[in-house]
Amino acid sequence: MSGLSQGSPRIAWFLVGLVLRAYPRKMRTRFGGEMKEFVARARAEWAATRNGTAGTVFWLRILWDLLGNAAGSQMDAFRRRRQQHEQLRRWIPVAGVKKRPNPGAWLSELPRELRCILRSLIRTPGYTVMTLVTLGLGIGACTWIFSVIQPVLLSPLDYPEPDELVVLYERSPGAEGARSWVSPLTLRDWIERSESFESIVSYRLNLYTWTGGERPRLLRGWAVSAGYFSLLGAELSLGRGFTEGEDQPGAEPVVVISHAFWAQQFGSDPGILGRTMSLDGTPHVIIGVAGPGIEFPSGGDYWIPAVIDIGQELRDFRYLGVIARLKDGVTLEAAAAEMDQVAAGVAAEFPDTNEGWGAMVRGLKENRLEHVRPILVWISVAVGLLLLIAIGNVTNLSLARSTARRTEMAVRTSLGASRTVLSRLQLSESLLLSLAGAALGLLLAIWGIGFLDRLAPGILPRAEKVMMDSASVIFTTGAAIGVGTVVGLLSLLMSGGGILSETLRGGGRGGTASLRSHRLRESVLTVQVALALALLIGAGLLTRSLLSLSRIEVGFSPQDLLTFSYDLPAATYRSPEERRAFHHELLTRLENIPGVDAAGVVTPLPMEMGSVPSSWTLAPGLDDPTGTTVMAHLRVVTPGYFPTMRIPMVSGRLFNAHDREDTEPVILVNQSFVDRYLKGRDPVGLRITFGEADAPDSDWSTIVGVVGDVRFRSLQSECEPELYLPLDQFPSAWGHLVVRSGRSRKDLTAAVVMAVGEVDPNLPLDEIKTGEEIIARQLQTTRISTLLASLFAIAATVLAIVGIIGVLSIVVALRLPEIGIRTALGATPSVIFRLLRKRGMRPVLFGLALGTGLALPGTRLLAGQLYGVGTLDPVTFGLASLILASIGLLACRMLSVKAATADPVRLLRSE
Amino acid sequence: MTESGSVDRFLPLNPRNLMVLLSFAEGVAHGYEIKKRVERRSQGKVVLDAGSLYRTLASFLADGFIEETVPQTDETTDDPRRRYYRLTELGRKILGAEVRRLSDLVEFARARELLGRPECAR
Repeated sequence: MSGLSQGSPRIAWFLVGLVLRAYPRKMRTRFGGEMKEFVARARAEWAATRNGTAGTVFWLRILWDLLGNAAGSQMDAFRRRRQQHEQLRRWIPVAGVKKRPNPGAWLSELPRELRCILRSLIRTPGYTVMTLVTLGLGIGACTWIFSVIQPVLLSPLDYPEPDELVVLYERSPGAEGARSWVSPLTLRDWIERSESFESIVSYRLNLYTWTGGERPRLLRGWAVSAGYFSLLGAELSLGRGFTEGEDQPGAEPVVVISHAFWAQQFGSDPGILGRTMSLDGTPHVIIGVAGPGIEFPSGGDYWIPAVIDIGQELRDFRYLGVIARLKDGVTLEAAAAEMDQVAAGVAAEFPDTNEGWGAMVRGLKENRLEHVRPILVWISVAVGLLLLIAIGNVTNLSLARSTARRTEMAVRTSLGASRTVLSRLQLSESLLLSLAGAALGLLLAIWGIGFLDRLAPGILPRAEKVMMDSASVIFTTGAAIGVGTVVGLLSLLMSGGGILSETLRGGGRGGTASLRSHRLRESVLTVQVALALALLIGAGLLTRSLLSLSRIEVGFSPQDLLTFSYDLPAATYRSPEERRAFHHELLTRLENIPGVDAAGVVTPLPMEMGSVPSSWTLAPGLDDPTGTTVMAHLRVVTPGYFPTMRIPMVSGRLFNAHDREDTEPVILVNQSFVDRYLKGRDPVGLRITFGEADAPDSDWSTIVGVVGDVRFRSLQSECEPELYLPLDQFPSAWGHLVVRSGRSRKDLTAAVVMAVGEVDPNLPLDEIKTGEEIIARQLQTTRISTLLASLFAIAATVLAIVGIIGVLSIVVALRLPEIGIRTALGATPSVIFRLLRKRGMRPVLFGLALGTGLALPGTRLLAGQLYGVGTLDPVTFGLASLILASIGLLACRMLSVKAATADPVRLLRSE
Repeated sequence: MTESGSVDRFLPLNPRNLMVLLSFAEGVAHGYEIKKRVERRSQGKVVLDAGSLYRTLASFLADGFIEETVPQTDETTDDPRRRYYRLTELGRKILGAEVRRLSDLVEFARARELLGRPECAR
C-alpha cells in the first residue's frame, strides 16, 4: 500500500488496469483509455488539493468505484442484450435470435423456425431441388436395398428355432467345399451313429402327372421321410403330416398338398381332407394342407412319403437331400465335428465307395442364401458408396449456399443470434431437407421393389416377403435423420468459424475462411470422384463379364430350339416296351410336323437340371489289367438328339435306329471324357460298365463314338466327362423333348402339344422353353448384377458431375473479377480454360488416384461374380478413369467458355 | 410505439443520471468535465468517479441519449484519449420530460404548501 501513498502509483495503475478487465469487452474497448485519463486527471487534482498525503484513500475510492461498477456494467450489458432480443423478436421474425435460457422453450420456437427455413428454401429453388433429388436418390437406394436385405438376409426363417435347422451333404473327395447329395445307405448309418441331432430326414424331387384337374398336369413335388413336417415344426393349415410307417413299402399312398396348390386348384376348399388325387395313375389320399410358410426345399405342389427300399440301394448312388434339427445346446461346429468322425467311420468300413468322402453340416438359412448373399453384399456396398457421394454433394451444395448466405448470417450474428441458434437452424434445415428427400426416396424404393420383381422373378429366395413395411419406413426415417445430421454437422464444421469477422472484414469474399472452405469442398469432391470411380470400375468389370459370358460356346446351338419336359406315369407305362413305343411314335409324329428339322429326347436337358456323376468301370486293357474306375455323368438320348442340338460328332459314329434293345449295347462319350481318362487311346471299341470289372458280359457297353462337349451344369461351369446311352437300350420314363424348327414358338408349341395329345391325351407337357431362354436364364443373375451396378455407377457419375460443376462454379465465382480483367485484356477461352483446368482438375485427378486405390482391393468383392475378366482388369480401370477425367475436362471447358463469353464489364462489376 | 411512449419508457431517471444528463445542458463535454459540472451543480453532493460515470455514459450511449462528437475546443494539449459527448434529440426530449415531471411534482408540492407558505416565499 505504500506504493499507493508514496506518489509512485505504478501498483495502483496496475490494479486499475486489472479491474478494468472486469468490464464488458465492448465497454473496455470504447472507454478504457478515457477512463484512465479521467483517473489521471482526478488523481492530479486530488494531489494538488490534498498535497499528496492521502493517496491511499484516493486510490481505494477509485478502485472501489471501478470494481462496483464493473459488476454493474456487466449486469447492464446482459440486461441490454436481453432487451434487444425481445425487441428484435417482436419486429423481425428471425428464428436465429437467442432467447432466455429456457431449455424447453425451443420446442415452441419450432414452428417459426420451420417457417423461416421453408421460406429460405423456397427462395432458392435450384438448391432445394438439387438437394432433394440427390438425397432422394441416396436414401431411396438405401431403403430399397434394406427392404430387400431385411427379409431375405436378416430375418429368420419361418420355422420354430430356425437356427437349429441344418442341411447335411456328403463331402466329395477333391476340391474344397465340393459336396454331393447323400446315398440312402450312408444316411441310414449317419442316423444310427450320430447323437447331435434330434431328427434327420431326407427329401428328393418328385415329378407326378396329375389327372383329375381340367387337363393332365405335370406336378413338381417332394418325396420326404415321414418325420419331415414334425422336424420343420411348421404348422399345417389343415390335417396332419406323415406318420411312421407311411414311408414303408405297401403303405396306403397319401399326399400333403401345398397351400398355394390348395388355393389354386381346390379354391381353398376346407373339406379337401380325405379326397384322393390321381398321381401317375395311383390314387393318393389328401391328408393335409401345408401352411403358407412351409417353403422348404423350394416351391412344389405336394409332398409324399418317400418309400425307400434300402435293400435295393447302392452306397455310391447319392441322390437324397438331407435336413436335420440340432439337439438343444448342440452347436453347428460340434455337430460338424461329430459328423466328421461318423463319416470317417463309414468311409473306413466301406472304402470302395466312400474312401475320401466325408460329411458336411451347414445352417439351413446360410445354405439357402449362399448364391444371393454375395450379390446383395456388393449391392449394399454400392448403395453405401452412392449414399456417401450423395452426402458429399449435399454438403458441397450446402457449403456453396452458406457461402452465398454469409452476409445474412453475419447480420444475424451481429443482431445477437448466438452460434448455437444459427447451428440449430442449419441442422434443422439439413434435417428437414433430408426427411423430405427420404420421402422422395421411399417412392423411389417402392418403384425399385416393383422393378426388381419384374426384373428377377424367382431369383431371390423369399422374394414374396420383399415389400415396403414398417421396418423399411423406420429404417428410412433413421437414415434420413442420420444423413441430415451428418450433412448439417459437416456444413457447420466447414463453414463455421469467423463468419462474422471474415464477412465484415472481407466483404464475404476471399478471406482465409473462404479459402479453407474451398479446400474442404475440393476434398469432398476428391472423395466423390474416388467413390464414383470405384462404382464405375465395378460396373465395368460386370459388363465385361457379361460380355464374356454371352460369348461362351455352350456346345449346342440354342437358336430355333424349343424344349418341353414330360414324365410318363408309371401306372400307364409299366414296361420298357411301352415307354419305347411311346417315344418312337411321338418322335415320328414330331419329325413329320411341317417345318420341324429335327427332334429328339434327352434325360436330362443341359443347364436345366443338376446331375451327379456316377462311377463306371473301363474294361481292362494292356496298361491297366484290372480296369479303371471313372466318374462320369450319364445322359440318355434318342438318335435325333445330337442333330437337333447340333452337337458335333468328333469321331466314330452317332446312335441310329439300329441301336435297339436287342442289339449290342453301345455308348457315346464326350471329348472331356476322352481328355481325362483316355489320353492317347482310341476310345472307339473300348468297353465300359456301370458295374464292377467282374460284371457279366451283358452289362458291358461298347463305345462307338465321341461327341463334342456341352456346358451342362451352367454357362460358367467347366465341361465334365459325360456318357450317352441310347434310350432304346435304357428306356427312361421322363425327359425333355427337343425340337428344332424355324417356326414361331406359338405355332410350334401348338403343333407339338397336338402331336403329344395324339399319342397320349393324358400326358402333360411342362416347362416349355426356347434354347435362348435357357441361356438367358443362365445369364439372368449376371445380367441383373450388371444392370444394377450400371444404374448405381451412372447415378454416382451424375452426382460426381454435379459435384465437379458445383466446385468449378465456385472457382469461377471467386475468380470472376480476375477472369473479367483477363478477358478485357483479350484472353481467349482457352486461356481461361487453362486457368480453370488447373484448379478444377486437381481434385478430380486426386480422386481418380484415390478411387483406383479403393478399387484395387474393393473389386475382390466381385470376384465370385466375374467370368473371363480379372478383378484388376487394366482396360476397365483405365476406361473408367478416362470417362471421369473427360467429364471433368468437359465441365472445365463448358464453364470456361461461359465465363469467357460473358461481358467483362459485368464480371468486373460483380466485385 | 408513440414518441411519448418511447420517452416515458425511460422515466423516471435516477438522480445521478438526471444530474449527468443535465450537465449536457451546458454544452458538449468530456468525461472529466461532466464530473466537474455535476459536482458543481449538486454542490458536491453527487460525486462521480470513473466507474460510475462511464457506466452511466455507456448506458446513455446505448440508449441513444447522447452521442460522441468532435471537440469544439482547440486545446492543443488535449489528451488524445479524451472523447466528447453531446445530447441527442432523444436525450433532450427525455431530459425535458423528466424536468417537466419534476416540475409537476414541485407544483403539486407547492399547491400542498409543502415548500412553505407562498407568502413566505414571497
